[in-house]
Amino acid sequence: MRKIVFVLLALLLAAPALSACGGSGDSGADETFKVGAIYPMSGSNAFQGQQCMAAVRIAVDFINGKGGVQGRRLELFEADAPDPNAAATEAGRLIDQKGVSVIFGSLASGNAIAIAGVCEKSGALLVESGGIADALTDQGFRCVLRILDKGGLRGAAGVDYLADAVAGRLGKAGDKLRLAIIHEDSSYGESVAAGARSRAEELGLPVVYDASYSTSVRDMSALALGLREAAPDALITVNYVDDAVLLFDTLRQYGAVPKVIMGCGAGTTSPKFAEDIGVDSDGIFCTDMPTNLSLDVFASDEGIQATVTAFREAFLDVYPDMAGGSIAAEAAFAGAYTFLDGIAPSAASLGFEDLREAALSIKLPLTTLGFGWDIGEDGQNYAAAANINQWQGGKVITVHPSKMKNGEAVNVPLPIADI
Amino acid sequence: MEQIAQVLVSGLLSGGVYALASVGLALIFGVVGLVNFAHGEYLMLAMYIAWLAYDLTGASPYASMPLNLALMAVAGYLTFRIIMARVINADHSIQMLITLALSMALQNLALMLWKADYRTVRIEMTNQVIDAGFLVISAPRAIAFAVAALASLLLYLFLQRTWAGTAMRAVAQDGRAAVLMGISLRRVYGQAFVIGTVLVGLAGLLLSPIYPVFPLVGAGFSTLAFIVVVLGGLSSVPGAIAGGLLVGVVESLAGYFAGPAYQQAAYFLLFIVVLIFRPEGIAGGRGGERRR
Repeated sequence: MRKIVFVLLALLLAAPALSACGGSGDSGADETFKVGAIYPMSGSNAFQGQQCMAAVRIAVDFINGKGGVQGRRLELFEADAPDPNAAATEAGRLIDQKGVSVIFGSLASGNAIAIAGVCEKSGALLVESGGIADALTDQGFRCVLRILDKGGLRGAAGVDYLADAVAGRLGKAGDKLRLAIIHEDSSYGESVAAGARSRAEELGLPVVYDASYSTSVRDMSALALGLREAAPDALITVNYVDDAVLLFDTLRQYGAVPKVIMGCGAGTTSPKFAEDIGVDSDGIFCTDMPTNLSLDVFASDEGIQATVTAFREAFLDVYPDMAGGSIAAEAAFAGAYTFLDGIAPSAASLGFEDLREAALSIKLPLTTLGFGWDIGEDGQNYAAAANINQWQGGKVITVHPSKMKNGEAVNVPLPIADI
Repeated sequence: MEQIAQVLVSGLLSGGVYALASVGLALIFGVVGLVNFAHGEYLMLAMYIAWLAYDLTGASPYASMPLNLALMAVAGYLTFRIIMARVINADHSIQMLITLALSMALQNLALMLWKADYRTVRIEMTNQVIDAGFLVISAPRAIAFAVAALASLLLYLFLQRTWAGTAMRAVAQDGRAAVLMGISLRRVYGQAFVIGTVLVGLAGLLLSPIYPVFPLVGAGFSTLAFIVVVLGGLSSVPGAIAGGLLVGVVESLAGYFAGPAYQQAAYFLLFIVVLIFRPEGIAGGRGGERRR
């Protein structure tokens, strides 16, 4: 009897250890493929962070519905990171304690850089579909795969569009357009502004006002006064949502709204921006990832077309009042879904090196964002490009490039322009 | 010149609200001797009440002011009775930890109740301006400044002209002597806590048409209020008002001349300079910084 008890006890103690033996490998048939998602679910970026998390859940559900990756069911571990410190801590927790080998993130560039630092040391991949700071792919991280364009390119794209398509409508030659740049001062804002500044210099466009601010700013009157004094034709601005609204309100109050506003990124493209600003948002441009594209854009691949349709329906189930779509969520879905459906199944194994090798070697002509997948050695997707969108009647309409556009630019100059 | 005048006016308007957000903290510290780290969370609470009233009934924060202030008074009273009264004689470090815990609890309660979304009160007045010649005066900021000035004046009159106010000043100066004069410390502490909470609530509701509300909105204002109060002389109500106005003006001037990125650096620099050359603050008595 004692022997039986001893054997049972030994088996009981050994069971977890035995089951863990297969944990470090990546070929266990009934094992799950553990992936993580880190987004700001609280704090100032939570509005979009929660949408991104919902989008990743949908992507994981879709893949599990198709049988998982390489026969392994996906197990998603979620984490809230309102700031870079929390992002680094949560990345460490997910990798070390939960055993995830891929993290989807991060919405904010600061968070993305913090997560990348942890992933680099721990041998996990970061599939980034929100942070666009140049620094993320300029620092030599091997763990980063960024599906979107990067900040510098986005700022340049905004300036190009202003010079090519807007200056003429203001009765100005492309190189005579007077620009102002106002941006929040994190790595995201700095990257986009640097790209805009540099392209303006290349094209010979005068930048008559250039200022940055912290997102914790409570009073933007100094910016409005400076802008009013400089009297630019067009304002390029990079913000998050609440500071974008505060900036716009202050410009309105101080009679400092320029003829053209080109927002770049999260702030001006958020539905919350148009909701708060109301009809005054009509005509404001926003350079960002493609969003709410016509299904015709995906006509070349019926599978992706069906996936986009299914995602939009699933997202509407979670956010019934967001019929206009959410750029952040669409990007988060694209990052997770493309990686799990188009890359991971073809990798030799689900280990770091094999997944990275597959991500860099596979070229996809189309993703659910309308552009392709072509990751360079630095982890940047060189098939990605920003679209020029515009708020029209409370909806984001793509006005450039021509292959993706679903409307023409209107309200140039802005009906509410003061200067 | 016109621009400078505009910058100064903008700074004073912001400073008025900063002052109002800070006088409650100064009052509570001066009378109760309590460093309330949850101060900003009461501002957040008042902003949420204003938003709820707007969202449910369409009432502007000015229309819902009486209800909002009444609820803030109840919140202040309950906080004092249930939590603060139990630690009023405890060590300062325990008091600070309690208020810190309260701050986190309130933030998480807000997160649970209203999620992390930004909530905005977009009344018609949000973007209206008062035309004052060459000056542009934002209507909600002007109202916030005027109400803040009125509230500060009423607080001053209360402290100077009423028996309860005199009792508060007596407790602030010497608690033991005040007890010997027949003043109930517990009652005065409670009154000061409730008034301090109502004042920061008033600041919150006045800010609601200008800034969005979210669970962490109070944290930023808490830091600012501490700077203002220390600048003003810790327990001095007039000092807190002067400190608030000074911070507003410095912030605005720095934003215009050095760039908005330097606004916060400017008032932190001012804070350091004042502490080096006048550690008792603008209106604090010499040695006042060591009194408690």
